[in-house]
Amino acid sequence: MRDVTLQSDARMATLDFESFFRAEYRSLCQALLLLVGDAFEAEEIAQETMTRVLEHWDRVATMDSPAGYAYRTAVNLQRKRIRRLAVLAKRRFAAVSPGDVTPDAGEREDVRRALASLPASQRSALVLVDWLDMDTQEAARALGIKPGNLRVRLHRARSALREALGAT
Amino acid sequence: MSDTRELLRPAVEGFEPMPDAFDRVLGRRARRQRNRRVGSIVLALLVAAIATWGLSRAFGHLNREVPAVHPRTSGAHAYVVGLDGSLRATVPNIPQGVYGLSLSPDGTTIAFATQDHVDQLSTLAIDGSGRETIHLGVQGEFTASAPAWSPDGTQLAFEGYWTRAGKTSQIDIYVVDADGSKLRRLTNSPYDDVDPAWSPDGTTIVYSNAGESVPDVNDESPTQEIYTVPVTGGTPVRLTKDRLSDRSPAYSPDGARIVVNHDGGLWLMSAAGGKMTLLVRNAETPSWSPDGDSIAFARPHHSTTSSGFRMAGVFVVEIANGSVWHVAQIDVFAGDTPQWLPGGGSVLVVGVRRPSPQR
Repeated sequence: MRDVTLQSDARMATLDFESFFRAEYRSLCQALLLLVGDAFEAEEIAQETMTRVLEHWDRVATMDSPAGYAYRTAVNLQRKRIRRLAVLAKRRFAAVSPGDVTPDAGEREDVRRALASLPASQRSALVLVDWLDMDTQEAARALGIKPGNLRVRLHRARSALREALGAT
Repeated sequence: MSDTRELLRPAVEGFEPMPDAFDRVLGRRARRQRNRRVGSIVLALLVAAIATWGLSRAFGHLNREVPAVHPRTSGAHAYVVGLDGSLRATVPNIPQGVYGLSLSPDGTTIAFATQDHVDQLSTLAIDGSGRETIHLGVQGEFTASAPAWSPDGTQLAFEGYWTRAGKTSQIDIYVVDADGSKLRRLTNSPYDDVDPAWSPDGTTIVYSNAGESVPDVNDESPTQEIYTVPVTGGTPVRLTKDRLSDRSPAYSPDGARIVVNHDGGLWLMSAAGGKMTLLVRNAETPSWSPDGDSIAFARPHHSTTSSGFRMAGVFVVEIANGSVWHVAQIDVFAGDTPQWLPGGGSVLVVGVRRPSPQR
């Protein structure tokens, strides 16, 4: 069972925004965490994304894929990194470090480091296709690149990730 | 790919979103609504001042509206659109997932690549009939895309790469006869070569090479430069050298100049390279009109569209005076260049049509 699920879009269109939020927010945060490698920034972008979805909910709710719209908005926001400075400023004044203290933090950090070592273009392709299960056409549209280039990035990202993690 | 998914899973384990995230989102919207009310008052005052000065009358002719209003559609289609914004035709039988569309110089045949058949190119008559496949006759997993017709309509240049043992080669520029014969590779750089376009005399291909920097999420890299290579093969010649991304080159019909996507806009330079001059900002995917007087292009979105297409609308800029007008409200997919029909009165574009914002 996938834990990142683009809910049935036809059904989702009939739900109110709060139901949509409850169904998608966690998955959105996880995808953004993979993209940006920082939980605080991931949630910052996720909240901004959901705010924009809410502002246009009348229109978004009637779309074929409200969740797809949300993910594309999130990718655009992440790409622009318009919130980076605000996030860094907030973190400077954070009382508690968000660092990992759990027993499996080592593996988690290994994967995050491996992801962070990928060029942003490859990381985006990997997360959209391999984590969110978008097809290459949809992912290419979300990133605004040619599908052929998306596939190249995806292949390279998979190879680099497996190499970095010592997987075969 | 499920095994990649398992590799990624530890990175998100233990992550819990803020419990009050929903309330935070509601709070953000409320603050934004308040700010916008104040902003709208300021904006109204500004608009009134501008109207008083009569600027809207002075410059109103630069933006023609699209007369037609069309229902939202979830899929992309190929449209022939007049420069007055009128819809001349919708090309039938264009498969979903088509990208990298190129119209033959005589305006009769469309070449394209599709998602489903990556080892071949396809052609279709402009009226949607007679789809044919150009088998490239290669062994192994080969992906072809972004075809471009030669000026005499007998050959196609395109981007291609190999996939072997899960790894991809760099993207190179290839040329093949329109019947699928005489496939040959023109470039062999360690970095990706993309965006091939022909010189009017058919002797040279101009393209962009990514250089050592990995392209960013917008497909741009500071080392991306413009090169040319003879169609018969030979050593590529570098035309640009700067610290910004240079891509999507296209020759003028007389072969004297090249338009380049550079620093977020379209710039002109001599076909031999050298100094560039700005033509229009906020523009991509240029295509020179047959008479050489203007260039069609797409303009990047400032926000996400419901369709996910990134380019907002088709525009034309007049080279002599820099005047820009909005031809059509069509979300064009990034990388798809508007294609001029031979008469120069209309363009072929693939995208999603949107209702006019005035309705």
